Amino acid sequence: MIFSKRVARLLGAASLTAVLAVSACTGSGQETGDDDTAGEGVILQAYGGASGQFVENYNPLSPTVLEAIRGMVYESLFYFNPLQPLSAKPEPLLGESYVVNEDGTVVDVTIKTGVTWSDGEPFTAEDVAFTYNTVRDNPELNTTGNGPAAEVTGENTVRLSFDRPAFPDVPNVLAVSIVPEHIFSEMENVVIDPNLEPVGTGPMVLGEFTAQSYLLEKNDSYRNAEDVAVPGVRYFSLSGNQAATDKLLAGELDMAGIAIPDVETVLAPYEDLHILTTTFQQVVLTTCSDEEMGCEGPQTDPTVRQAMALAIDREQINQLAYYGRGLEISPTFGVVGRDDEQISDEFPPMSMEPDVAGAKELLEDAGWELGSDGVYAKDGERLSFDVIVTSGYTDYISTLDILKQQLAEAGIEINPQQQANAEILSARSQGNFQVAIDGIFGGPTADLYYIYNNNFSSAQAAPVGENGNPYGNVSKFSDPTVDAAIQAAAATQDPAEKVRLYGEIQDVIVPAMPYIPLINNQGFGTYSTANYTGWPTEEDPYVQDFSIGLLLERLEPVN
Amino acid sequence: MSILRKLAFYLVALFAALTLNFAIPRMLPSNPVDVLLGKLQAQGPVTPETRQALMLLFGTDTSVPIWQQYLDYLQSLATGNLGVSVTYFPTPVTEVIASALPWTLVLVGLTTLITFVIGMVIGTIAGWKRGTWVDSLIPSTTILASVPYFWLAMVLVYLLSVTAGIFPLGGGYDVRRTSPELSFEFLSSALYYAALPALTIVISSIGGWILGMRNMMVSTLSEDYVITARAKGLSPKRVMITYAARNAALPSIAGFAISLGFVVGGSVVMEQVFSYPGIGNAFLLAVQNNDYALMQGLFLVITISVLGANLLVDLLYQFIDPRTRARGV
Repeated sequence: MIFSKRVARLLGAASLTAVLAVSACTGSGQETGDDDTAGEGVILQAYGGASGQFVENYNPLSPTVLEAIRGMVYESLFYFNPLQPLSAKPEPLLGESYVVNEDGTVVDVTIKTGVTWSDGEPFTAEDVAFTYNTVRDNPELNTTGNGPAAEVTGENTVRLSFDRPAFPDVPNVLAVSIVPEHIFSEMENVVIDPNLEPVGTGPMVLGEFTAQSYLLEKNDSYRNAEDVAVPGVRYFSLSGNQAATDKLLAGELDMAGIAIPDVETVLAPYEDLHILTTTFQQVVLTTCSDEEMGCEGPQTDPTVRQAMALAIDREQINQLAYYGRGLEISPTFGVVGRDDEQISDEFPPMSMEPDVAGAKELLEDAGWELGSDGVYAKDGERLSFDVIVTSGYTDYISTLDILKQQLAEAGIEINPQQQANAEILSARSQGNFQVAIDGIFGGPTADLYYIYNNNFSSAQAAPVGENGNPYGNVSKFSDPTVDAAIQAAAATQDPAEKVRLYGEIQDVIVPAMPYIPLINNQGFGTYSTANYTGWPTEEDPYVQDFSIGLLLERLEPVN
Repeated sequence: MSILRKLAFYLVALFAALTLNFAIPRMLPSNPVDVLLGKLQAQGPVTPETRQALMLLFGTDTSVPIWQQYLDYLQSLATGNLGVSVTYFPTPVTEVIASALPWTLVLVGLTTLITFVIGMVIGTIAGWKRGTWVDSLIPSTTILASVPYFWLAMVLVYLLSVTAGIFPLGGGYDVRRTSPELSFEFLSSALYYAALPALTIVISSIGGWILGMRNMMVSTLSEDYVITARAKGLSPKRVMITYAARNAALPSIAGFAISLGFVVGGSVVMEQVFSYPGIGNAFLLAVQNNDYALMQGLFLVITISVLGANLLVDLLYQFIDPRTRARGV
């Protein structure tokens, strides 16, 4: 024994004194702190999924910037919300309005006036131009590959000129956080500078930082400061989902992004805790589909893929692996309901019920014969293949276990193979797999362009053996009609024309089905109404992301 | 002469280790960019072009030939520049290691020392009084040592932290009440959080020291000089400590010095079970994120400390035990 009971008790007492000291501090801080009218609420406690130690990085142009620095400390010109239908207008932040020219090569932005940085300097059109030119001049930061050149054209106007038509890039480009020229121009290397003293325009400024949590405090010079009742937001790093869930259920978090299995049952006893659907993860079986690109195996045959799609009992998968929270999935990968205007009427959502007889008929018509082992075969090749899945992804793993039984009834054999994340990434990147289980995610707006360009364009596919993007067109699907329609859709902002082009794409990809649709799983954020009300809801999803400053203007303290 | 030869040998070993250090991380499948891309995608939409931007950012440009990378690596080692960690981007690797190392050094270092001292004392007594009740300690400690560490640690966490609530579940210190600084609050919190991990290490590793020391004692006690000492009528205490234990301890001391070298490598399993913010934790994160620079930095520190500890033992041993000196020196 190292510690006697007495020592342990002493230590316990020591940490207890620490608790009292800290709570005394917060108590007095609230009394003497914010003297303006809005500072009534308590510090918002937030968890964004971080584990391990936080590292100071407040550079909003860096990919590893700390959560909410973009959004609460730094702001973009506009906020595009993917939860709104395609026709919705973006929310102006630092921008006032923007106009895109006919070709989609020039965007004229009018910015807000009278905005100041948190150090008192005025926010100007020069800051906007500097930000965009910095992104363009540093390929490391140019995440759209189509960063515009910017010039100041008037006191409040900036012109962004693109090298090629940029309709689909506009939401990403206008979502770039605007940085102050007077600080960022002094940096030796803006790409790796952690920007230790952040100066932004948003509703929050940096309070204090430790490796386990950081505090953002209200920015009293924020242009709508009187609407912000939240005195501060503290973000935590926790050891994982379980620790985060425990903390949430204990009432210690006001907002959190945690994947909680069977969330509705878990949260049911807690009347303050609610969820908001924030993302749609369209769960699919990605097949290495194109023999010409080097794929091998029975899944390269579209008939096999169609037969599999028929034989799947989606309702069972939904109940067993997704606790009934999954939605119908469309073979066009538009979100049923939200994207109905973009989905061709010819393609109803996938049936939730299996059609095993139909699947068998499809296979037999194509020359497959049922073998004595209960598995179809053709020319000596059994209808059997491996499905790779990342070990630890429990929803995918149980989905595959269910699928294995369902497909066996239709004479199709799948062998789930669990591998480490890095191995899966490598297999997907190089095309060394037959079938993988995946999620297809949408883009910055509800436009189906992003899904088609990322997952079906041959520009995003690399031949088997080459090092391709493991999150791009992993199926290696390629079709000239689809490529042409994607290109044409990138060059127009006419909604009717887009819908027509998406119809052309859907006419090809639905029969080809390189990604076999399983279920549309709803990702969600969790919030508590114990301390604040006014959160985004299904009816009014005014933000998709809890780290956007707009949220803080809408929250009202309880009491 | 022999010292020079030893130094030359260690230099060759160091060079070989550095080369392996370069090669092994690169044999891992995938790369840091794709791992980060997956994380970014979990947070929100990512454009396909982001991948190219990240490759430029992290310098994982595959067009640079491997021998060029190797030369750059050796050169940056020589200048003490270990690069930038991808896991903790944009923090330099040296800073990541500097913040993780003290946790491991203090916890694992102190427990190794405590375990060694207690083990030696019990081993000495057990060997001296062999056949008595003290001797029966040996099978029980050996059983504890043979139990898998993670299992033992988790059982203790369950019993002492979850059920009894005596110790915290994990972490380095109470993050809500204090932050790393030189204050009584922080140090007492760190000590409290270190208590259970330390206890598990002591319990699981003490058996080896006791057994080794006890057996050496038994064989040393049958040596002629011990019998002579007894025949001279020296006090039993003096015979036990100055005559028997001093000689019996030699192999254990060598083992201790070598295990000190491994302290820096930390205990990956212990740090995982207790979410302890040390080197082992950093190592696991580095591997999960394909963070070549951080892996290399950690390997380097571990290699140098193990080699250094070995060299020290080699050199010291000649002074402690004259019999190991080469003839003619």
